[in-house]
Amino acid sequence: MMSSILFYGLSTLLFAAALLVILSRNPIHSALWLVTAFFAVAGHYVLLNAQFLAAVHVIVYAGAIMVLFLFTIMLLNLNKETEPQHSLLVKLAGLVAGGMLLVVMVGALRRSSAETASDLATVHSGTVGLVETLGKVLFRDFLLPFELSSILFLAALVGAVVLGKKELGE
Amino acid sequence: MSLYLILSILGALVLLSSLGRGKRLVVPLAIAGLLGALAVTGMGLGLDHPLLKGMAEFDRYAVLFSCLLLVLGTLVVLLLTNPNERSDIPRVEMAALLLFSLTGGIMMASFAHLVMLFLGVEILSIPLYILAGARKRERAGNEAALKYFITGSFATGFLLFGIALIYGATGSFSTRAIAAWAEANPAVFTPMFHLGLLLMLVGLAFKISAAPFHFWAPDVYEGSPSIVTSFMSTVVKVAAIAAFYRLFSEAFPAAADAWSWVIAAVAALTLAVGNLGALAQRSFKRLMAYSGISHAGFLLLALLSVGPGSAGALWIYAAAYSFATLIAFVSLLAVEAAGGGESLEALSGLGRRNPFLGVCLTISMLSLIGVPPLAGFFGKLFVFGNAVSQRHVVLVVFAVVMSAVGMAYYMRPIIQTWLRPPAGSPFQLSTSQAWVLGIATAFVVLLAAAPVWVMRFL
Amino acid sequence: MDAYTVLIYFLPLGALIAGAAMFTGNLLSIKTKESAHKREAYECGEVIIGDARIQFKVGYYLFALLFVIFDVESLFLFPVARIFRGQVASGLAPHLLLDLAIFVVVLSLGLAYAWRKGALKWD
Repeated sequence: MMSSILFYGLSTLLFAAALLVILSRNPIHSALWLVTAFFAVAGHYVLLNAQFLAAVHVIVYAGAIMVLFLFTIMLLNLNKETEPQHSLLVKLAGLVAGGMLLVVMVGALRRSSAETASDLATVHSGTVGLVETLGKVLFRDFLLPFELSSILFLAALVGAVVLGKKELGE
Repeated sequence: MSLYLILSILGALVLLSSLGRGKRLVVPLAIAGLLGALAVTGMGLGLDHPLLKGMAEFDRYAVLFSCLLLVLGTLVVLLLTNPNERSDIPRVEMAALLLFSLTGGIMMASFAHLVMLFLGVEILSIPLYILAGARKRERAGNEAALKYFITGSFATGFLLFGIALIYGATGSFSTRAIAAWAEANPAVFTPMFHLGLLLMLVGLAFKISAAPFHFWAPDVYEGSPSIVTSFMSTVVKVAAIAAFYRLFSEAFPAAADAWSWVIAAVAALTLAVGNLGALAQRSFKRLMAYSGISHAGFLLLALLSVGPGSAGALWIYAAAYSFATLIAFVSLLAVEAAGGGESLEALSGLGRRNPFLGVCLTISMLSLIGVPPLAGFFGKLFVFGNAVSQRHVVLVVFAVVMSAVGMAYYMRPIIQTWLRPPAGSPFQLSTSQAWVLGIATAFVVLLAAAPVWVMRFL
Repeated sequence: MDAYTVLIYFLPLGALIAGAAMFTGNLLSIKTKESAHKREAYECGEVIIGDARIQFKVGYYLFALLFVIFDVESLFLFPVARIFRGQVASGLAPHLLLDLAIFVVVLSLGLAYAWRKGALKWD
């Protein structure tokens, strides 16, 4: 009962925040609404008993990634006036394309009832999302991807330095 | 396992050498490392390891595609020794990023788990987003980087969402488990599963620049330094199609009814867009971009006819395409270094300015058309043959017509090379360019002898 | 769900306290008319020279990106810390430590690179 109230509350918040992200004229407002949306998603993770993901979502997305977003907005000096005005045709095309994807997804997920969804998807009361489980899985089954992801970070770091630094020279 | 290890360590070492004084040793080091990796792969040393359990599998398919990727990667890295290329990213960093990207490509050729596929796509792409913007003071360079990054990450988003839905439907990331699930539920139309499949298809179609997800390719190719473009149009394309085929032939064969017509439609559209688009191009680089799109269509044809022999056909086609394309880009690099631009006219009289280059370029274009007995002919032969045996006759007829259209634009560089007055004085190739040209041309000519062996191996 | 009950009480409580503080502040304060004088900096505050929304240096972005990468890294260390004690008992701890060391060393290499290239210098 309690959790379903929370679920609907969080979902309403999420939808409202997500809509405001794309409807706000001011990019900074969009970014701040995005933070709200991230918090709502983190709440959903908590409801699914995935504490680690919830923490990651708050720390990385609502924290670090948002800092990047804001810096980008400030770096490009975006504000209300510089927001590009799209022609009606572009807007219409976007609406049609997005709408079609939405229809397909709603149609698809509506028909996926509980019996077709796998039992793994039901983590409500399980221990799948706990930090301890994650730690064990990460270092037993997912060790190789874990180590390889450091290469990804390294490449991103090098890229940030070579593109962001002014004069590097040979 | 040994392959991932060698390439990662090599990339890190190359990066480290940028901190010290060993900059001159970078390319030789990278080449030596890549050749070592190639030898290790060829001999199958330590490719399997308990750590790979369920994550990646170096079966024959993976080994053969890894070898192809390594050879192509080595040739591109060899081209880095030429100082003439306009780029704001130092050579050392470029070499390191190319090596990281290659690691991702190998992951995509050998994955057995969707997490590895996703990580491979990311490790392949992120260094390239950076390299695409290497000309950071030019608008075209910025446009290339931004377009590639935004469309690429959008595509990755599709791929990731697809993976999530597949996991939701089947409860597993492992290709084998997904295939088992699909086999156990053949008749059931499961919306979540099929939507996931479709989204993954879209994500991967972006990466091989298949229509209608090809928009980024010409602009990105044009704005990036030619050396990066040569990497994109060879290594990236091969890695992406290898992953595409591996995914669909290992995880989704039981669901073929659901995706084969989608692939057929995408292939037909890609063939039309690529070949007809190429006709209108005046820049050689853009022409090669559209050529890359059209060959994505032919490669999809191989994917469509999954069955015995189709993996071999795919490999031969991919190898023939990428070596010929590499030759084209080396020609472009050489002409640019000799003061020419990227237009087709810059090639005029190339046969007299540098006969060796002219001959190599001609062989490359003929192979891309599919003239026997060059590698491209055998690629087309096997791909079409497989597709016909799987009853995709209409599509094959269409593909043959489109090959004929291809002749129209591949002849244009040849005409410029031999029948037009020279655009400048004769020039010399650098040693590394000559080597790369020689090796790639040798492959284009000699691969004609390989098909039987490849077919038996795979 | 019991573990989260506290949270459920705390969230509205936090919102209530913040809201109440603002409300009381608003209630007690003396309203004055909007004027140019009111908009000026108070006492020894800096005189305003322009809009705060100016274009930022790309250097900030570089730092932010480095921060994100190491943020993610530290997050990966968290699950290890949680399971480490259990692994000591089963003798897998050295193995775990090695796995972590590889990850951290690769990323430190990136930091060393950024440092050496002067990306951490503010100019």
